[in-house]
Amino acid sequence: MTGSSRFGWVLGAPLLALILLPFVMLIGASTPGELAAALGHPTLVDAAWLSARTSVIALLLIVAGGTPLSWWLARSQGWPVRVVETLVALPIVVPPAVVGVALLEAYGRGSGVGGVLASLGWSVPFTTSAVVIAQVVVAAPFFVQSATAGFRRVDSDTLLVARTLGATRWRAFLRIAVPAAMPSLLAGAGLCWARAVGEFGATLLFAGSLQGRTQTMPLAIFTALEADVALARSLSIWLGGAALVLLLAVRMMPVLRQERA
Amino acid sequence: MAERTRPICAAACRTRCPEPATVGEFQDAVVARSLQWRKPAAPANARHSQRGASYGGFRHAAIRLAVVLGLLVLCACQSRTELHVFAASSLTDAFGSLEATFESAHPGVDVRLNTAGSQTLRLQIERGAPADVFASANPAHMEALRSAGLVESPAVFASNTMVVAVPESGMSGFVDLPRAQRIVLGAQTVPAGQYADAVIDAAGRLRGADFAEEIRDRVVSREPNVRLALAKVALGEADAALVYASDVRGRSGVRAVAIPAQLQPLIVYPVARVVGSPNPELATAWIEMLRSDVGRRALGSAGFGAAP
Repeated sequence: MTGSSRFGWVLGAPLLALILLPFVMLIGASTPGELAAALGHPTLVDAAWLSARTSVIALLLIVAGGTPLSWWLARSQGWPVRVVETLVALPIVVPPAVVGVALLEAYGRGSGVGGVLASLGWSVPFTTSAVVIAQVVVAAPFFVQSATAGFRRVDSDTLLVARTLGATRWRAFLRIAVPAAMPSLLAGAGLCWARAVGEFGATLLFAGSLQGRTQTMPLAIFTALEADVALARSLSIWLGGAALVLLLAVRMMPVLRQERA
Repeated sequence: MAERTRPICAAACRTRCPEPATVGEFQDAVVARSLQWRKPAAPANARHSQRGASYGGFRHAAIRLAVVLGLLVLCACQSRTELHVFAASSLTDAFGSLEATFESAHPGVDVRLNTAGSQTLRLQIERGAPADVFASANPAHMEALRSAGLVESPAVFASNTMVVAVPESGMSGFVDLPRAQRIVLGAQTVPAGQYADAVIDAAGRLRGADFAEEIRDRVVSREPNVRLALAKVALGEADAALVYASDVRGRSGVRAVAIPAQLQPLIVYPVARVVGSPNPELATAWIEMLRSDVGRRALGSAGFGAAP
């Protein structure tokens, strides 16, 4: 710690304490016995498995669509692009409950899209697909923002050189742009996965809460809170622990460590 | 200075006011007086240098402001006694209308309603939240607090029934329930969900296991809060939800289909004084009001039944 940064530590300590204190107290509030009991609880097993499945599918969908979208946002000029970039960030600033209501308006029974899908035999609300859709909508902006920032930093000259050496556009993108932006892509993917796992408000409204079908970890914790606080606390610790491991894994990735060095 | 503050004190203690003044009126009076003080202070400051005068003026203004603010805080604390009523969410509307009745009968009392799920309220009271009265939708939570010595002995003040909430154009009778495409219930962990299970079990015993089985097959969600279950019907996404009669009362776009009496579980609402309440007499007055004609009328028009 250098002298010039010490004031940052002193002034920032209260905020740090405010952020960390609840988590420290949460860990202290559960006994090992309660934690072990929660691990074997059918609610946790079903909810954890559902959360894992849906969030991985959501992450894959977001990366598949978000990477090209971010590339376009990063490499294009003009106000329409900036407008799109702002609109993509909308789910970050809108309360998730609003996203849930909007999703019902879009895919629900009364809506045009929902009606067309229903006539094809695919009724979206209250299904596992609805969980994935809610996660994608709420989490995607985190990936797109990070990836767009990463692609902006890719050196245009290097791409040009690759093209002059005979690489196709596609090959230049995959071999030059993606590796160069990899730290941002991974950081964005990690953040967006964590957000997908934690998604609550939109899921509750759009997908409901049914064990094994739409009840993800956050919904299971909220439901357990109504009956068994000890169980809710233990589930929270497990979910928090898993998120921490995920966060650490992303931060420890070799690409990201090189970036910081 | 001391002499000048005397009228403020008098106003604060209300010895000269025949009618209790509101905090707002009192604030106006204080502000008016603090502005009047400015004039006699001016000639005294005029002899000082300009810098000294402005500094002294600032200091005096600051002291006056502190005195005024202190008095305001004192006044605010003295004039309004707060009665904290912790009530199950289903009681929100009924207690909201009773709040005004109680406040007009007890001048100077400010009723603070805290509505949430009974379990959440229980947790808050266990953690030392400042509550005077606890009204629960579920006797189990009340009993837990009583055996922990946190509430006094409870009294039942209302009852409720389960109904099927359907859209305006929905089914007409309980027997049609298995034909609904999407049914939403409360979670097994909330009272409304447990009562819904009791209704379906009873229906299964009465009409055959297939009837209950068909209903359970159509359940698409078990919501952590009974109002969310109702919202799914109001949004048109669910065809039926098993909720309390009091939830549907006064809601547009949703209709209540009665559930036969022989399928109804016993749903009672107990209320109790919280141990260590700073206003035990007011807490008792609130509980007595609930059980009076006024209370019964308000609860009745919100869809609740009388205490059995």
